[in-house]
Amino acid sequence: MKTSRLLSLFILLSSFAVFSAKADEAEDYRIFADEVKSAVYSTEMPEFEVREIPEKYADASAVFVAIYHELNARKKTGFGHLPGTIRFSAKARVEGGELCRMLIYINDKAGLEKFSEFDFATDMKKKMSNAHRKQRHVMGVRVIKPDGTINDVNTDEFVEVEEGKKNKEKRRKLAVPGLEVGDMIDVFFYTEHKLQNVHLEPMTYYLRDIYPIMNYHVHAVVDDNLTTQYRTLNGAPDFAVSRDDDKNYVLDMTAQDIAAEPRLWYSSDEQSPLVKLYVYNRRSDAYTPNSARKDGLQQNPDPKEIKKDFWLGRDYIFHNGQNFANYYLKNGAKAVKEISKQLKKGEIDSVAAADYLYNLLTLAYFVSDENLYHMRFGLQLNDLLRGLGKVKYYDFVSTDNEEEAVDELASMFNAEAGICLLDGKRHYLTPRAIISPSELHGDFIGRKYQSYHTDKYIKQHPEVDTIYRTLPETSPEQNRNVSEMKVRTDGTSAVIDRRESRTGVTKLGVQHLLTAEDIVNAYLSYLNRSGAEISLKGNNKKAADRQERYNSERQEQQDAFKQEVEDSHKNQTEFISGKVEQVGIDPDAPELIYNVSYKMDGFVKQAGKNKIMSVGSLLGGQTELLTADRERNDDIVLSSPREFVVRANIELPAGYHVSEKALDALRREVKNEAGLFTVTAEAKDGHVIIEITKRYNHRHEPAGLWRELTEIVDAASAWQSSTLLLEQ
Amino acid sequence: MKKKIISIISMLSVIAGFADRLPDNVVISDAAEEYTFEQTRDGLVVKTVEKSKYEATRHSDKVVPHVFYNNVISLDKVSGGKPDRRNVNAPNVFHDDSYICYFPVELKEKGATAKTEFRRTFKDPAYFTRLSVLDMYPVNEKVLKFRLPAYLTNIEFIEKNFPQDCFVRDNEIHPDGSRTVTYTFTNLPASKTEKREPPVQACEPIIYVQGYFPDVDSLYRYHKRLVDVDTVIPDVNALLAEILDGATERDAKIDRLLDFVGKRIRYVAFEEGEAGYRPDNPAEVLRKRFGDCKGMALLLKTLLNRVGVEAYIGAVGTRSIPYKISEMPSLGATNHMICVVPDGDRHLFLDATNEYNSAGHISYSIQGKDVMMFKDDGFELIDVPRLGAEVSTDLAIYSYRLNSDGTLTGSLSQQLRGDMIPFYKARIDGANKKYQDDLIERMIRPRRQSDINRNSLKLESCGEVFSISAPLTDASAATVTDNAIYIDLNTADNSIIERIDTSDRTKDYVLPFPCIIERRSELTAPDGMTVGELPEGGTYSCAGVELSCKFDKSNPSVVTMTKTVKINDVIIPFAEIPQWNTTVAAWNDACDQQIELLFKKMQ
Repeated sequence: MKTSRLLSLFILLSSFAVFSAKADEAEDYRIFADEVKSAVYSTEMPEFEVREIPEKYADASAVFVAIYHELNARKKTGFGHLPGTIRFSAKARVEGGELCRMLIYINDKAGLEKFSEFDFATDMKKKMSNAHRKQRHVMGVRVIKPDGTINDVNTDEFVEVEEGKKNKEKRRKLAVPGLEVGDMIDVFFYTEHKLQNVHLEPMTYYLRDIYPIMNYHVHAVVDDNLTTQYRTLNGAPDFAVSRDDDKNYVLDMTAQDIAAEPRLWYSSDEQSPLVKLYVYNRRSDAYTPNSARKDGLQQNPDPKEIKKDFWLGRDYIFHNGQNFANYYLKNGAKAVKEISKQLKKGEIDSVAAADYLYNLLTLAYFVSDENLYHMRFGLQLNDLLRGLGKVKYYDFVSTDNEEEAVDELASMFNAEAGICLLDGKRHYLTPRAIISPSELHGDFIGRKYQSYHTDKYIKQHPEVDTIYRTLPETSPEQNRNVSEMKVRTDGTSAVIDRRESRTGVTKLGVQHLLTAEDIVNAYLSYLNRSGAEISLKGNNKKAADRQERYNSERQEQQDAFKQEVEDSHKNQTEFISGKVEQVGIDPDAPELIYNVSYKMDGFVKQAGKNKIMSVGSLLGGQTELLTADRERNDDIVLSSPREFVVRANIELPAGYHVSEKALDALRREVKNEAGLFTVTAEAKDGHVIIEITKRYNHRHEPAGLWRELTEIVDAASAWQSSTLLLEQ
Repeated sequence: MKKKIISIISMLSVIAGFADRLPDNVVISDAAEEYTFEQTRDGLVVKTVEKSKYEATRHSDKVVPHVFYNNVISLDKVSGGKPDRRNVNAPNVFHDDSYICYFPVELKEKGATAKTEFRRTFKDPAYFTRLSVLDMYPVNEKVLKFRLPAYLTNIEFIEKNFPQDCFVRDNEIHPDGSRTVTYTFTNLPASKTEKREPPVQACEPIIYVQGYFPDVDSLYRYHKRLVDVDTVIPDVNALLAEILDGATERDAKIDRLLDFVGKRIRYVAFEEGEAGYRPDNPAEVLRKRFGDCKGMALLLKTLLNRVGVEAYIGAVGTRSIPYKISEMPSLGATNHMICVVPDGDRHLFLDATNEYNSAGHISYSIQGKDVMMFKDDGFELIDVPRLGAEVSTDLAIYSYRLNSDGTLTGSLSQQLRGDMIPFYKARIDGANKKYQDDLIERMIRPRRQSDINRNSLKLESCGEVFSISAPLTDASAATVTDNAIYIDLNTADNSIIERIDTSDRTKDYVLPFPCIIERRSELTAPDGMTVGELPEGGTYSCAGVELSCKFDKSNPSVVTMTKTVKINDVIIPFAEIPQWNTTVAAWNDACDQQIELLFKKMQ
């Protein structure tokens, strides 16, 4: 195979690099880079000879004519001394390289800007006890002019930069010479690996991009003494597998003519064909998942085995929920006992008790400086719930929306631990935002999960290993943003008091409005209703320091509110004040509520003796579709089902009234399968009350509902221009 | 062109990623900086010692002390933490040799202090041109000393933008003739960035180090050795024939060569070592198809010379430097290079880095400055004229008729001149091909709900004018009642003229460039309707800006609204900002007034 020749040369080059280590480092690198470049460009690859761009890509900013990925990993055994001793021992090593070569057609100035300058690290050395990860990177570029002339970019054209502590980090930068619109650029990045006692970093090949791809090829040659697992996802083609003369596994996969991703509401992780590939060196000291403790190739391994890795891996985690809470919170242990007592007495139910412990643990982490690791958090919560005795629950494994679904799990490291109450009323996951235990973070909406069972139980009931449940899809009402506005006019301006109440996913975009003090006080207020007298640890000095930090944050919070107001309306605004009313960590009051006051310019316009109010400007910024967005073949992935409600109570200036006809001009009703956009308007006691509702019904919609979704988007966008005539 | 000058402000801009906001919790309670001019084996150098004592005044915090250095400023010693270093380039610079040395320091509690010390050497005092006085944090007390040997009598220190009553200057002459100039500052505020603020050198306290180049002539001699490079271009005649394509007139040759260098050579700023001041060979710039301002200027000059047009390269300071070369000859006086062509009793100032500038236009960025034009036998200092608002215009005419369904249909005709052209064209060209028409529509439509007919959209460059025309429809301008129809003829594209947030403002506000923006909306009333009483309109002015809104009824059925912005002076002084806000509000209100169309009464 032609590509095998390429790989062989890389191995040769690696050896060369080792022997010449004592030579001048820069010169050594230059020779290495030149030889890699020569090897890459001398390899025959017909897809890199293509010069014709199909007419259908005429409006693309750039086109990937060909993308070629190559991976080469060989097991080695070396010798080295144990840290701090003079004893020698065998070291598990992996050597090899990764190549990514791309032929890109530049079709406009934006494409030229994007692909005309590069900046990459040449050297990366990480040492960890008796393990290390050494990498050398090489980049090569050639420019292909429309007349077919090929101009190689010389290694000397790169700018070298040394930085970092003791100048040990090296980077190279390149402004590609001679590149113009209409040219093609044939560029590659090669990474040479030398790994000791660590695994190769996971690789994900996305077979789709924001530019169209004419040809995509992945080629991997992996030592049969290593463990290779891969998972093809979202309809990616499978690898063709063979063995070479050295018994290495040779994997090849190709795809052609891949359209560009749509600009809006598309998730690469959920929709683009992709391959996740893992190479483990089971002989290394690094933790090796159980499923990978056997050499060889595992093509789309049984997800059951990977899930088993997850549960086995969890056994290594040290945890004690009560101690943790008590370590970081004064009376943390007392609170656990108190809540247990209340549950036993029947003063609270098991959901309330479990919510309490979830919030207790969340606060403990919030005030600690410890990393929030999902396995540990899950186990600690498990400890606390177990202590309650009466609460029935089970552990589960799931994945977030940036990873594959759990029934296609590719690696234990992609999974996330959770706990479900037996009645299904709660799904507790490691906190990723300040939300109520009753709410689901957007990353997990509608994700598959599977409950934990012991090996023994699975043997007796094998069917449980095939049962998957789905985390709640949630409803638009559970992810609702209600804006209640009191509006009065001051000359041509509107003076607005706005109360924002947000639940579920709509809280995520305003987390930055919360200060640490808001959060801590909210948790303490909630937790201390039990009578536990929880407080933060630390002496008076620490408490005073914390209070001063809170004061500084409070000052910054006003800037955040000011920005929120500026972002909310297209008209110019003058910020007056902002305040958090409720953080929303209490399941009985899950709304995050804040109030802002401001003036908005240009709200009232004089029309003869009458006035016209730009009521459309009360609706915040709405998505405006571009022409290229109108046609769509891909399914639609939104962040979640959501509902946005604006209730504006507008005080009319004295002496003015509105007609039914004027009110009717504001009313809308667009309802379809994808959602709705409605506006109601009525006049009452010198006020006009407008209620605007925009709703997206589901997180996922089929491409067939694109027209319906655009009707809602367009209706909301158009309503922003609505005006209300006030007659004298 | 490179600015290898000491500037704490420039350091602040590169370190901004570490701290967006400057908390007043941390102060520098004590700062001492010494700059010693010293003769060494390698010549005259400036050695610096910069000491700071950071203090947390209210609560624990983290600070990141840092210092800037490069090929001509060596970093000799760092104390106070474990230093890391990063190559940092200013925005739009592909590469330069600037490094920042930094380290995090934790102030563990209220009252905690940390001391840092940086020692550096300016290997060539030519680069020691100015010193910013402010820091990222407020400074309680700062002592700044300059030590000079007796023979450096020319060196003087010029204070600019100094706040009153916060410093004392002391000049001490020692018995051996050497001098020590000491500034003692108390209670300096932190440096802070504000939206559309003036250039730092124009608004924050700076000490200029003047006199290393006693006159412009000595500055020229320093530059001259760097700008002498090989200008031979292989096969230049074939290239010129291709570019000129038969053009024989001098003006046409200038236009085509400027267009070629502007459009076919990418602007890539590269400032490593001497390359910060030495232009790249024209042959190299051509081969690479990219260059920085120096390389592009020299290529253009070389090509022009080859076709018989007298042309020179010229070093110039952009308006970010608030003084001319003639006023303070130093390396800090220039930061850009252009090509200068004598043209009768005037000069053409050709800036190839701005591909949208025509030969006859002078970019506002260099207006009012002076150019050091490098001639074969010396130099000439040429004043760049300061032009009026009239040279940069954006004039749009919307002609509408009202349809029975309440929509307005008509056409747009827009003409751009001067600095307005790059303002539009750079954005259009920078967008993905697929989205360019959408972008144009958003740039030219009078309001969000206006639709541009893209099939008839025309973009045209003719001489020094860039024109855009298109049919358009506006479905949201009319409000229909039983007795009248109200039409909003205002356009919603006032992004340049806006109210200025005064809540945290401490500095003047700077508008983009002098210009005239005019929006004329003409509406023909349909049969059966008559134009009611016209709104009053009005004219307003504040600082150097004139705003107006006029309503006119040229005949009974045609009404015209003309709103105009004329920026004569870009500075809105801090003291006038409240008045500016009042003025803008009044102008907006006037423009927002609706046209009333009344149904004609039946006879």
